[in-house]
Amino acid sequence: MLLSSRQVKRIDWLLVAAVVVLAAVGMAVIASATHVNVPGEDRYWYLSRQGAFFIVNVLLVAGLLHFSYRNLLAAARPLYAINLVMLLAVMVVGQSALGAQRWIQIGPITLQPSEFSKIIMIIALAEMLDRQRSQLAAWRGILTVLAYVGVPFLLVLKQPDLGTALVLVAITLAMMYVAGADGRKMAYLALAATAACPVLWHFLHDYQKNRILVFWDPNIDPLGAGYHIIQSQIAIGSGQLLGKGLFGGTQSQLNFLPENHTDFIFAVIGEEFGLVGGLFVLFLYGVILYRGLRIAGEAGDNFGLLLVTGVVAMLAFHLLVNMGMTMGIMPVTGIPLPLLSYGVSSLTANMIGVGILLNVYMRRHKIMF
Amino acid sequence: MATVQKRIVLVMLAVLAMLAAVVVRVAWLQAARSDELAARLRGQVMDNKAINMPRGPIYDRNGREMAMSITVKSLYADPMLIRKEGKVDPAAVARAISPLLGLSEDEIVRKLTSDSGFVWLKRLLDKPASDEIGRLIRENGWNGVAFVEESKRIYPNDELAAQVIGFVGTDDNGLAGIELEFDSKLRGGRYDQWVETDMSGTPIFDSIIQYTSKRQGKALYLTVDQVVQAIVEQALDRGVQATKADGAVAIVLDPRTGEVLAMASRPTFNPNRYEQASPVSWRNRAISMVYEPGSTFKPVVAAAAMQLGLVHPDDPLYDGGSVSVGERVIKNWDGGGLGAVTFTDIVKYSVNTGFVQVGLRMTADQELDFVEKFGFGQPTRISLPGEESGILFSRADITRSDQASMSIGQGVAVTPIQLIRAIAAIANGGLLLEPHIVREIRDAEGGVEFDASTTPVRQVIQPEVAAELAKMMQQVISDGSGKRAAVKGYNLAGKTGTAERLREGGGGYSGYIASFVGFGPVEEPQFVVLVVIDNPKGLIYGGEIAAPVFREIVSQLLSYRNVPRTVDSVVEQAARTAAPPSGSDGKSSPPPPAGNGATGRPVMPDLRGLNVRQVCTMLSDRGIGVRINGSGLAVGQSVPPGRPLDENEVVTVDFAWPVSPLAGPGRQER
Repeated sequence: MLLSSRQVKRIDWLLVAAVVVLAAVGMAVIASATHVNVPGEDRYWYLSRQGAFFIVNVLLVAGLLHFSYRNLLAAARPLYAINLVMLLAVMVVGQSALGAQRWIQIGPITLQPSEFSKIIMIIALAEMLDRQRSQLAAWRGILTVLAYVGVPFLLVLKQPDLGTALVLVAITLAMMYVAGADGRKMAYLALAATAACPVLWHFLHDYQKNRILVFWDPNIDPLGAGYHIIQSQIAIGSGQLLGKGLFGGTQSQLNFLPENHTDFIFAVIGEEFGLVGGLFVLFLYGVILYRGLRIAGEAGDNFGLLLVTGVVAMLAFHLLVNMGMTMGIMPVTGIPLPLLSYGVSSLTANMIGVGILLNVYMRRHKIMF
Repeated sequence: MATVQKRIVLVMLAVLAMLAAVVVRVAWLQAARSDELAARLRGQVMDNKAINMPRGPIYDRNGREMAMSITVKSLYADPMLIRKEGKVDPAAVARAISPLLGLSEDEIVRKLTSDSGFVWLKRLLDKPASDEIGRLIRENGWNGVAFVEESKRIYPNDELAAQVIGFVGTDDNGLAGIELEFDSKLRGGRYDQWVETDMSGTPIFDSIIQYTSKRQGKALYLTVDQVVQAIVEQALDRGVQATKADGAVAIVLDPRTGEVLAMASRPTFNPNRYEQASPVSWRNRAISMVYEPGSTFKPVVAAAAMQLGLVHPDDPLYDGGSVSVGERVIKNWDGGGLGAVTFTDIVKYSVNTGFVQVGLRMTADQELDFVEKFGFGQPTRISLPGEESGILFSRADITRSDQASMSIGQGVAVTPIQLIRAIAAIANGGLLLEPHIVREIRDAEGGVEFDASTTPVRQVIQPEVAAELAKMMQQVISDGSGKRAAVKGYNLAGKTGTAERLREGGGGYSGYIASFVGFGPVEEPQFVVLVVIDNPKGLIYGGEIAAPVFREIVSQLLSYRNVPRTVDSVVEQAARTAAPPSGSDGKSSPPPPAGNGATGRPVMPDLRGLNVRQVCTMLSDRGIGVRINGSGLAVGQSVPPGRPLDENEVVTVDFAWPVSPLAGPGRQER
């Protein structure tokens, strides 16, 4: 047995069930989205890869449950350093795809360090905020935190990976807020950030600017930057109430919708399972997020609370941005749908996040061992 | 910790609000806007292609194909798209498909680079070529070169009944004959086919999403019997060849039902290549030729006078060789006179002076009444395009000499179908029927939409009068002017006719028209046959050139129909008593047919691979009776090739299509 019976009893099974069902839905949809357009012989290559890594991750999470999350306190700083090295490595030896350097090839696995960067930053921030809690009422403390996050943030932004950079912002804000940062000062920060937007605009790449422009009106470039938004909405809308059935989505199957197994997987769900399927997936996410916040409330210590807050913020922001972009209420930023989208790095990072939730829940009482 | 809890609740609320926003958006897209977005999807994934459903087939009375449609592909290109994309090299395409299309590379390049969004490369391709081109398009990703399915009309028997059936244009619309007259029934509906396409517009697996079989053209069954038609056409061909005539017509009608069993017109054409033939040959003379019937009209005059009781078969009449009416002098064909004769003799020898006397016993109105009652002067309403109504004297200004002319079939103009119908009424106990050539119309599911029935028009003469007249006409063949129409063993009735030919476009006469009309067996007539030979060279008399054609048709018809011989045949009696057997035999029988064995008996030829028409020709040349089984090309015969046949032995030939022609829905080509 991987876990003792005492440990098994302390697992949040509702959360586990939601994660497993969500991952299963994801694999079914990946199979559907890729079985036509996959090059080569094995039409279920994506499915088998995702499935294999899901199992590996389940084992990994189960194994990590033996160790208390409190061990991460000591590991936080080295992880932060490793993160910086990884992000720098991407810039030096990374592979380009779709106009951005985000991947590192290690053996048969292509790693996307920015995915892990999010989890590492949650741990690093939790440790730091836990340490600096008393200072968060002052500007100095707040700015120290911002500087701490700012280095990896800029590296991610430089890749460029706007989506992940924004996720880092969301994680930081949520964690700072829950850690007790002064509310008014955070509001000022938000205002300052908004005011900085026009300045930031000039630092964006053209394609990023385009994405934001077409977000306002996808039809200014229906075959270019607006294409994804339009096709994705067509796919979801045409699914109607019950959808066209698995493997039945013409829009997703016929290459009208690129990246349909990764970032735009929700469009395939919408087309093939309809409104009912879409709401079911949202319900599962709702369960995960609700359980996450309950765990935060019950966390045994401040570090656990912050870890869980970070994970929930990461999942929630991913959800909002990804679904928002497939449905045309958010600009297109290439971030995947947690646990559903195809992607080994993303899946592993999110499963570690889930593992943190389970770990904190398991050790929710202050004195346990 | 209280602040922390409060803040977590706030974060939870924020997450909830965010989830709610996403839910609302999903519902908005999938419920409120779904119809609009689904329509947009169809717009880009589905390609609506209008497809012409195949035309309905035309069958003979026994269900053998006379016309059928197969679905073939036509190749087109979108030169504007090719230019815009710039991915397809017109020269390379031309090089690859030039041999398959039979077009020069230059021509294909010219088409591919033309300034248009649509250009036909070649229509109605045969299957091997379209398959090969389809493969090339797929393999090379030629975007902008594609197929559209079209229907191609095929006439498996080539010239057989060409003018009756007619033909269709490239756009599948009927242009002549039955194809034109019944175009609305035969024509397959256009239907919209939704085809799934991928992003590059290529159809997915040639998917066919809708297929409405109801739109398929209806099947038409003619009253024509393909075998009888073949018999008639061969006999007519020989007649035309022998006489070097300009044209000819032959019709076989069933007097009991009004059904047209065969209808042939010369010159003829092959409807599969109608555009290569002279338009003159497209004309169905059987219904559109207007000619002076001459003596073949006399039975009508006789019937009228007999019905009115103005003349009887044994009434004595005097033939002085000529008779003058008004300022006109009417002579017999040979100028001679027979002296004192009976009315039967007048009919038998087609004596003009006698018919003038008998005709003039009626008033002009009386005679015209009967002529009209027999159906002259108006179309027969047979359902074929281009029917003429003929010309009669007007009642207002008909003169005595006009009436005299009419009594010998001059000065009136009729169509072959009118004449044969009138004679059919005599064969049918005086009851005139509406002739028809379409027997049944069935929809694509096999339901009968139209079923022709025998349509009586009127009783023109009493059955007794008709029987008396038939007996007189029988003597025309047994020992009168129509001896050459006689068929050993059967009692036939008929009438010869030779008339001056109206110059085309009017204005006097030029040449002659020789004809023969008759029916048989007299005891119970099963068919009426009319043969009209237009402008023969050399011999011109109906009794000499049309009667032998009639004889050939009738003798084969009798054997094909297995009509039992009348043992007590009047012809045989006459032959026994009158002519020396050897001499008459040598004259009347055709030269010994080719292929006879040393025994003098016919030897069975190898028929495999021949079509119905060719088989009929080959066997009738050898005097072999044939039973046709199936349709298509001969695949089996009841007697092996090379075996000598017994007299009157009938062989059965099985026919089948090598590849079943595409007839209807359910077959999708990939």
